[in-house]
Amino acid sequence: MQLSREDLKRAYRQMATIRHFEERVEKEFANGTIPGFAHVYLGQEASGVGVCFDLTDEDYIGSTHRGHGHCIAKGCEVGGMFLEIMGKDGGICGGKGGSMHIADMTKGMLGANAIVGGSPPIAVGAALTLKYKGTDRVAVAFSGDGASNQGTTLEALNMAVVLKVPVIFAFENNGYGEFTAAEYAVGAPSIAGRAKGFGMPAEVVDGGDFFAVLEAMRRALEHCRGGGGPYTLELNCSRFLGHFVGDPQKYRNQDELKAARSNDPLARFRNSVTGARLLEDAELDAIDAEVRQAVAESAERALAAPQPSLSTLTKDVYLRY
Amino acid sequence: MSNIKAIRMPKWGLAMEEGTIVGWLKQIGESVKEGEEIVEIETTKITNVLEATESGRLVRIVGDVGEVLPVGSIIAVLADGDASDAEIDEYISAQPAVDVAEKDAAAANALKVETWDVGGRNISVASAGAGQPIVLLHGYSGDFNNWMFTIEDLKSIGRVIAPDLPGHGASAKKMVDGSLGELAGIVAETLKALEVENAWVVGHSLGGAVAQRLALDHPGLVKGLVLVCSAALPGTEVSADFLDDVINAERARDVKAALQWLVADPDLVGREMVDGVLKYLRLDGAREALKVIRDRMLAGDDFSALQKSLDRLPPTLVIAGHNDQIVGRPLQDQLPGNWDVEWMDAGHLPQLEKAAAFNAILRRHFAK
Amino acid sequence: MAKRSYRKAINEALAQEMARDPNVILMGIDVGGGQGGSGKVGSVGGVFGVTYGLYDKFGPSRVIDTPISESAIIGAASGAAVTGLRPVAELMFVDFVGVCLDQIYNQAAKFRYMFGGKAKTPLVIRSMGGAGMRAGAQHSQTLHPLLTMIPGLKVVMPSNPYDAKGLLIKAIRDDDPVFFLESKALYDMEGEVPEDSYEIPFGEANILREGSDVTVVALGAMVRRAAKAAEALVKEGVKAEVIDPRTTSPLDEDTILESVDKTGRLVVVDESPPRCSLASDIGAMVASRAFKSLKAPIEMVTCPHTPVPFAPNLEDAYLPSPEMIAAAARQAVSFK
Repeated sequence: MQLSREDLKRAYRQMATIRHFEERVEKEFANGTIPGFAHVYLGQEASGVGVCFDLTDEDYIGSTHRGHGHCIAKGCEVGGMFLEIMGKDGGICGGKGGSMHIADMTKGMLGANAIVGGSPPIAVGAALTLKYKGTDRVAVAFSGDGASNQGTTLEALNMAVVLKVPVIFAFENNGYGEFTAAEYAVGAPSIAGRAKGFGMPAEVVDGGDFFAVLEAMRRALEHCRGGGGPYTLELNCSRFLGHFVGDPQKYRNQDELKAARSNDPLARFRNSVTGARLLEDAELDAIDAEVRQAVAESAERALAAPQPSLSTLTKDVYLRY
Repeated sequence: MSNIKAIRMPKWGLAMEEGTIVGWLKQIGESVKEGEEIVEIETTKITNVLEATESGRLVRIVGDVGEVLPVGSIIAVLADGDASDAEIDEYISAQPAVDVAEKDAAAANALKVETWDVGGRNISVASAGAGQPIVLLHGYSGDFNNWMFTIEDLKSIGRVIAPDLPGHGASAKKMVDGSLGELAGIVAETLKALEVENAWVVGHSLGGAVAQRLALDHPGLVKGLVLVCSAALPGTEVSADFLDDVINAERARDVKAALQWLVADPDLVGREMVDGVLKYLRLDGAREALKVIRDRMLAGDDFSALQKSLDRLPPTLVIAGHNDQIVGRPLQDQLPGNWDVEWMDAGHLPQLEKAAAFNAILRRHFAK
Repeated sequence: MAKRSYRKAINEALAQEMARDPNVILMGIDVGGGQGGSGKVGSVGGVFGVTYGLYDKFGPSRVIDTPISESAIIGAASGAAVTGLRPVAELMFVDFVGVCLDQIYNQAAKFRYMFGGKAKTPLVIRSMGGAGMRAGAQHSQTLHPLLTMIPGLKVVMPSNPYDAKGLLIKAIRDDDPVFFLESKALYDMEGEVPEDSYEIPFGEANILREGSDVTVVALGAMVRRAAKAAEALVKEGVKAEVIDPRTTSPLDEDTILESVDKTGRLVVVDESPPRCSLASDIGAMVASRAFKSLKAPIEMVTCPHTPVPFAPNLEDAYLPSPEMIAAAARQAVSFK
């Protein structure tokens, strides 16, 4: 696959933004400045960025409780995300959503979703809109291995085939549904195999390899845009941290945790592009520095921002009641 | 046995199923002439006075004040001479309740409502009776139901025709410009479709202005005019507040408040009258049509043109309400000398508020 | 004005809105019917024939037959709504809400608030409820209390053909998610319905009958029964004011309170088990806001705290009857 230097830089910038953002979230959570829970995307950056790389604002994605990376990959603004996660005025959802409910309709981001298996039916519906309106756009349902066991997901897989809608089911298999291994909880040999059983093409992809993800996604897009109906990608990923920030992860041994870190998608990307002399280390370092700085500034602004006005408590339940 | 006769609960309008006795205007023992007011009855639409349908001495009141009785049931008994209680009891028990609705529908002159395609617009027309055509044109935001007592009364002396004006009732809501010319033009075409060549035209409020326009644009069609609380006579001015209140009324209580402007006694406005207007306002395009007509009306040119042409109108009777809060009182001395004017002790809706007296005025006028 | 059945009024509302706005689509189990079979497609129109004829008129892209997958139906309809369509999803029996509740209360109803007012979800879920059809415990419930307590959702319970058409048109044009709960006992009820389209606003109760002695509030299929009770009461000299709130969310509290101010007595009729019902909700609202007007304890006429039974005599006894409503009104009026 041949990507321009600009595209390579864009890919790296997005992955690095997610990395620095989530590391800052981890830190702020430890500091007690983030209320509630935070599920971070560290280690899965190549998957979200690869899947969203060719999507436009007119393509839709539905996300999961581990949605920060998907938001950034789909173009959500980092400052607004920090404000939201900290429950501050000016947050991307006015502080009403929080970490697990970040959405931006103008970016085709239909929401992180705190219900495991929440997004697949919604993405089928978004795809129905796209098909009905005669566009060549697609909807993507991000799910984890855990959601692959939910009835809603299985209903959505079948319905997508029956209605032949342009939806891509992106199952990010990070090996754990909460604290239970997919090895135990997913009865089928593979999620992709399950999807095939519903009557759609599906493939297993190395989710730590940006280029593998992008190539698979391009096959999926071609299939959907050609009117072929739904497509499934099972993206094998490594979760650096536990289910939530602060999870001691006693259910994973040290070898596994080390292996996850050694499969770092940013490092793999760097090795790949510098090895092929497409980009220099210095260029990537510059991006890192720039992104780290921007993320830090956004975080500081969010920390200093006021809380939402109490008058917003009862606003936006309905358009008109 | 003396000649015993029943007074029954009347059926006023298509939807009436029962009525409440509000008050007796005659006492037991008093003699009653046919046509004389005998009892006040409240329906869900409006309160009205019932005129005796027979002559005789009132010997028994069956429906006490406050009682709710179905249409067609006996509410009072008249007798020519003396009648014993036993005779009256026997008479009442021998008289089944009349199914007024069925009887009414079976009658040759029964009210019917039909839709006509007039130049591509659906126009709903209520009609009853036969003979000399009498056209009734309702006012702003009204429909043929504004004439329900008039139609019931006049159908025995002529062919009563009450269209729903464009933008109103069950007629098409799409307006071109809402001008009097547009409204009168559609009325003229409707009458043509109904094969009416020459008619008495009675117009109420905005309908009065439409009637004037019709007489000017289609002189052959109009035998004579009756202008009831008419909107375009010298001295009158349409209340813009009323127009806005109607257009902006969202809930039943808003509609009720707006309609109470129309009548001298606000208690006259019943639930069904409110419901009828509310059902109309909810129709797609109804409020838009009313806005177009309001704007055109308030612009004033259509009305001032009419005021300059009073002399060109056929013989005209003006009926005005002393307490009309919607258009006010016309200046009688500025009307042509050959016009008749009748003042009624009513608000803006004398045909409903004082139906019996109103109908009597029309009958006298048409008999001339 | 032509008479139409409740079923036909709903069908006409759907047809007129689909003709008016190409973004209105139907989806659900057998809304067309017969897909993939050896006979005619579109020959069913829903299990009670409510959507019959729409498939022939609007075709398979707008009358979408789905698998029996309630979660996916409601979830996909929510997704289609939030991305620009105006789907009317059919959840055949409201009893099935249990298998798709997440898509209703965690997804569609919450999008707008959770996303800071930036999402619009013009979704209508049509479903039918109600006992009296000998359909057993899993096909006879109403469940409106369960739905009414969900913020972000509007809940409509039409009690007659005129209201069914006007409220459904309003529901389709409304930009918030609406649960439109039809009563299967009323599908054959006839009434005058204008041919043209019209909207009945939400949150405006219908006063069926005015009266000064006792306020009777009833919902959905119970409205007819309350009206019947009121007719019987008139003969005894008791004037009941019968109020149909039409929508349980929003609820027209003002009309109920104004009526109780006038009558001083309240009977609430609710086809629902008594705990956490609309009867207890409206009763509590009146008790706290019109306490001084009350001349008698609030009477609630509800179903017993049981599932809906099957045997005809048991099911008849389960539902509030006109006699039970009249007895409750007498109780209130005679309280000293």
